Amino acid sequence: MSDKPVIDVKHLYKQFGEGCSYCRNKENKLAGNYCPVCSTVYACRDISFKVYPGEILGIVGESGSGKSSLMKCLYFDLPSSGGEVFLSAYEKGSINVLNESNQIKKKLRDYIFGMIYQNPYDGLRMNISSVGNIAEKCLAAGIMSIKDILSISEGLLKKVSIPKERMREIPKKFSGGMQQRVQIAKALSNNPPILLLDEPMIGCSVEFKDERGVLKYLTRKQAMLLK
Amino acid sequence: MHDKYNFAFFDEGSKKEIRRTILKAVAIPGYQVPFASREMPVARGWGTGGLQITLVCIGQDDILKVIDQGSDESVNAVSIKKFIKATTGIKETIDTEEATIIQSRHRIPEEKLREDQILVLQVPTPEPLRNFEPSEARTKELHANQDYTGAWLMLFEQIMKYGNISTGADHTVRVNDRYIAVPSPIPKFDNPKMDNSQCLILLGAGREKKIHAIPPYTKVKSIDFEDMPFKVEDFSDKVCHECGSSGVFMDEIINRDGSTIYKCNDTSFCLKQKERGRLNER
Ligand SMILES: Nc1ncnc2c1ncn2[C@@H]1O[C@H](COP(=O)(O)OP(=O)(O)O)[C@@H](O)[C@H]1O
Ligand SMILES: [Mg+2]
Ligand SMILES: [Zn+2]
Repeated sequence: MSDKPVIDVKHLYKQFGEGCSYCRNKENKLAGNYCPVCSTVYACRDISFKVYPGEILGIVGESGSGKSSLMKCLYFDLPSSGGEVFLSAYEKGSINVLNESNQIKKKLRDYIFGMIYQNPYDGLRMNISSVGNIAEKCLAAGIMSIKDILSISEGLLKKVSIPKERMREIPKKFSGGMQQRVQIAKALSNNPPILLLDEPMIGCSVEFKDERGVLKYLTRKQAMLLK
Repeated sequence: MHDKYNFAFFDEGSKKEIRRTILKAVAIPGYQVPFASREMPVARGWGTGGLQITLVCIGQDDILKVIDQGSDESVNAVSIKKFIKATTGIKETIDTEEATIIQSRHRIPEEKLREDQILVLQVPTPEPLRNFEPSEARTKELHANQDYTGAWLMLFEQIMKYGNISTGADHTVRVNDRYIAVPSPIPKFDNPKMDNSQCLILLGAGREKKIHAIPPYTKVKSIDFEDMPFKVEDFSDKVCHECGSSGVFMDEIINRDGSTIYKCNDTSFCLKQKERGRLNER
């Protein structure tokens, strides 16, 4: 195993709100994660971790503890409030990607990350066919052949047990668990070195019989974070 | 009649403002430049964007041609022509080669356009990503980031639905390897005429208040997939019933007896070919 982390997060912060003189003073107490004076929410405070190739990092915490916020910061859905993130697949991990341009961040999302959101509505276009949803990620990652996109999609949908005959249907018509599985197929379609999963199995557990099979498949990827 | 108006209807200040928009559009090929689209004495959606461009480009020596879906004589074309004539007094023509400014809806003429001509196209919806993303703020961002996945995704969805690229008209193009743009609802057949065109092409959307341009000798590529390349409608085996041409964009006409004939969609081109045929017969 390489000794270089695939992802190296250093002192990441995420707050919702500007903050005020009260909450900026570290001596003063917050009400949980939230400033009683200005209502700023401190969702992530000083988060640091490394994930090495082949590793799975699970993050556990009660509801509202900032797990989804962290995921969204790493996937650049939300701007981080502070800290650094280094990716071994980008400039050999020498550049803090949080400071890169939007164009670069988009490239990183398209080529280096796969993301499975807690809510499938965040990760899928509900009115575009399921195969189209997967195609979107493929196209973004520079796969420009219909044949290739179809073979990737069919293979992945099979792995998450969605029958090929249903791949042209829109996810809106699917159950929550099926939607989540389309999301998984989409997230894997660009073969990302890092997979981010935000409570991926929510709503899946009953119908998703092959959950462990999929997880095993997932762990062949370089690294992932899940909660 | 035209001395009731300033030449070409607009005051000179308005003309300058719209010309500046056009200059910016030419400087950034394919980029939609917002402009203060004027209220025109023509219903919106009837080519007010194109009309405004024509009015600010036209000079006393210009010769104007207006076509609507290939026809010089349609109501829309005639009323636009009348309006421009009334406010400028300039000469008009149906001959593509004679015209210096051609305003068109839904077609690029069959005869090859030259450097000394301007083609003005009327555009209903100038944003190629609109069906993919309803928010203007978001599409602007997508253009800025060259995030064009959505355009290909729309095409992919069509292929999933219909088995092939089913866009008959308004097939999105990539201009100068940078911005994607609509070619206005011209048939796919006309898209290749935009590539490396000698003539300046200006596209105006009055209702949406946008102008974009394809300067002469600019690369224009219709978007497609590696294994499903862009293809135009094929008329090579069809012969025009009127003039005998083939390989041009044809209208299909079904006779009462159920038989099908073809006729050039570009009526002035068809007339010219017919004239030529007659001369040759003599
Ligand atoms: N867009 C937002 N604006 C304001 N507060 C937010 C926003 N998103 C999340 N929060 C707050 O941030 C905190 C962390 O939320 P979240 O990251 O969703 O937690 P988890 O995923 O661990 O349940 C919560 O207090 C939540 O209310
Ligand atoms: Mg959450
Ligand atoms: Zn505060």
